[in-house]
Amino acid sequence: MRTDEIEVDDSDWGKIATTPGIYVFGKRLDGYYEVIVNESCIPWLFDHNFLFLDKAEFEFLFGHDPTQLTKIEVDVYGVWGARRRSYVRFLENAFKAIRSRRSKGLKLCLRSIAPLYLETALEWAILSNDILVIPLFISFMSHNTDRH
Amino acid sequence: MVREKFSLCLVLLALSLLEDYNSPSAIQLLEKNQDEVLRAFRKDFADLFKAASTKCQNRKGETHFIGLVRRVFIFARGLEDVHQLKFDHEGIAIDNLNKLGSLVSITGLSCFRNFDLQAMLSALYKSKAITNEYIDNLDIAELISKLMTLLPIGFQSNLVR
Repeated sequence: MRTDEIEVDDSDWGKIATTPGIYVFGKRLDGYYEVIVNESCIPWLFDHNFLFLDKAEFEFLFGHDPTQLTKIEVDVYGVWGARRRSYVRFLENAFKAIRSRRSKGLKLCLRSIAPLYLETALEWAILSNDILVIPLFISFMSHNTDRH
Repeated sequence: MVREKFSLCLVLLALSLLEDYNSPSAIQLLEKNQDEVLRAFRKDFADLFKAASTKCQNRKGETHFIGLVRRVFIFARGLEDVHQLKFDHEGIAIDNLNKLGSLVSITGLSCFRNFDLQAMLSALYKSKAITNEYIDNLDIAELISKLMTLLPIGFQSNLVR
């Protein structure tokens, strides 16, 4: 999604950013947002004037690589520098995503788009978050049923 | 309670690597509060990226390690995650135990068996990560037995009470 098309006041961007099933993953240097969308939200997007994607573009997005290098970064940092930056950016965005919502679908999506190089780091991030952010109800149930 | 049980398991597994529960390493471990015991899980994305760069991507080993930790966490009634239950059954018991011990900066050569339960209990009472009330209600022989069943860390021989 191009940022200049959706950040304008009369767009439904605000609704998108807060809708369950839609997660704004990150903002790229080339002027695009990366948005993770549950399939069930796609009709909703079409109903809210987000008709910018034709079928071919949509199919392309299913195979989207979030660490794909942008020309602007390659020009500035070279291929290796741009690659490193894209990996760091992916991991940073994935971290925020994992911490912001407890969603199996979101985790599944992150796992499916993570580059091989970062798979282990992503799994540690998921595991660590589960350990440190224990939902209250699990803790409550454990407290009432646990005989250690 | 999940975090307390998980911390208890990490402390117990790490202590079991040491021969003397009064050694400096053991005392240092027992001085850690719960936050400090769980410090290994507080890495941010920059730490994890650095680790990914330096560990030469030993994916199989790391997946195995993650599987071990997730099993301990599930045992402590933490969340399940089917993607993190894979582990290498050919892993060596003492290596597995050392991986878990490394989470709290402990390494050692002792196997997870031949426990002196009284000595272990006394040590656990000194841990700042676990309340005495929790230890009072603990069936340590059962806990050790369950951990042995759950994790490839050793074979049960005799539990001395």
